[in-house]
Amino acid sequence: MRWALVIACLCATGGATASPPAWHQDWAGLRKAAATVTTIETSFVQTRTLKILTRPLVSRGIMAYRRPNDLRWEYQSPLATLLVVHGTNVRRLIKHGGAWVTDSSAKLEAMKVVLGEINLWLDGNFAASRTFRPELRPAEKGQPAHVDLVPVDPSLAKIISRIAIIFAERPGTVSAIDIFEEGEGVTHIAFENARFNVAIPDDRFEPPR
Amino acid sequence: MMRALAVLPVFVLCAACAHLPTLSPLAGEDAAGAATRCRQAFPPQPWRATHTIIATLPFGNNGALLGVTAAGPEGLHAILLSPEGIRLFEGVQASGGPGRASLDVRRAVPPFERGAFAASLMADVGNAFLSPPGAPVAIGKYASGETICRWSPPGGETTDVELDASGPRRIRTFRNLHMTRQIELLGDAQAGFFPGVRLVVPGVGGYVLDMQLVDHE
Repeated sequence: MRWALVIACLCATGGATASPPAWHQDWAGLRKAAATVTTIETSFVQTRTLKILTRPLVSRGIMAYRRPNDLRWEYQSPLATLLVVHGTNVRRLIKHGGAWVTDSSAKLEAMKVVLGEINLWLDGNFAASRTFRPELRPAEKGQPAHVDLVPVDPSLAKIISRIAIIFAERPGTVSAIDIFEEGEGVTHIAFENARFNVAIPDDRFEPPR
Repeated sequence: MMRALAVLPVFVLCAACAHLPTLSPLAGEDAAGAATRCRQAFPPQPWRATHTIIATLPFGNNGALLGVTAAGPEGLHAILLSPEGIRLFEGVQASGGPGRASLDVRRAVPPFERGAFAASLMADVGNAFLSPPGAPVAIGKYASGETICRWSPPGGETTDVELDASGPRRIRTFRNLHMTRQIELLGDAQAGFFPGVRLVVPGVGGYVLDMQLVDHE
């Protein structure tokens, strides 16, 4: 479950579309570009393919991020779940019977460790990750420029074989994330209608009252 | 008053645990019609389905998952995903009935690798979505008036399907005269799939699974 959370939080890195320029050609360029993004608000569509399904499982949600470390990652359908991070406060909730209740399957201490790791990525500082070995991939053969994250820990590699973070045209942002499992489909998260550097009020990063 | 109402289902469940409810037999056409309607509690195979699952566990713990299930000639296939799409559990129960030898656990991420989790999960899914083999051994009414079809295969669990005027409403399973599961079928079924399914496992260590149908084929 901890690694599922890693992925949920990892997905908070962006929104927009397309590929090229120079900002993602090296680690220094990534860090510099990431620093220009202070807030992100975006919707997303998550598509999960599985061998036993002829139609993929589609989830939809919204994400908000405010530097340095405020985050809202909300699935709205088919399952309503919410992760909010405001400063050092971390809450994960489930909508059940019309009300938000705490998701007690989420281990708070593990979550804080994971969120610390994710902050590195939000800073464009992939190279400092202790959990994933990053490899920059330029655009080629119809594949957009992206960074591949390969798990360092073999136990994590059994769950996720690779994560691809696909860069967007706007410096410091990503258009999509692909999460690969060995031999069993992929989870594709595409960001839509992203807005950057717009003021986001505090209550977006707090649990619903 | 509210607290008393809240604990009422627990007493009802415990009362049902004490013995297998007796049936007053139905005869002739009434029994045949009831048998046909009872089978509508289960989708015809082969099928595939996706559900959201909210699990309410002991000590106020809970969690949210996505469940993908399929049934056909090869058996029963069940996958649990986190909301983020991570595959946490995958198991296949081969056709021919439950049993450790016939259960192939293909993936189990902690805490889903623990003890009897896999067998328990497959039993939950099987009880809710797979018709017991053969014909009902008895069709009748509980003392409280509900119409029931009962399956009781040798060496297996007894399954009672409860009907109301609109069709199947509940499934109860019993082992050694104790109720092991109660499954409520909520809403109007489409191709044997109900929009909502509430599975209650009574007793110490019991839990509740609230499942909402997302897709089926």
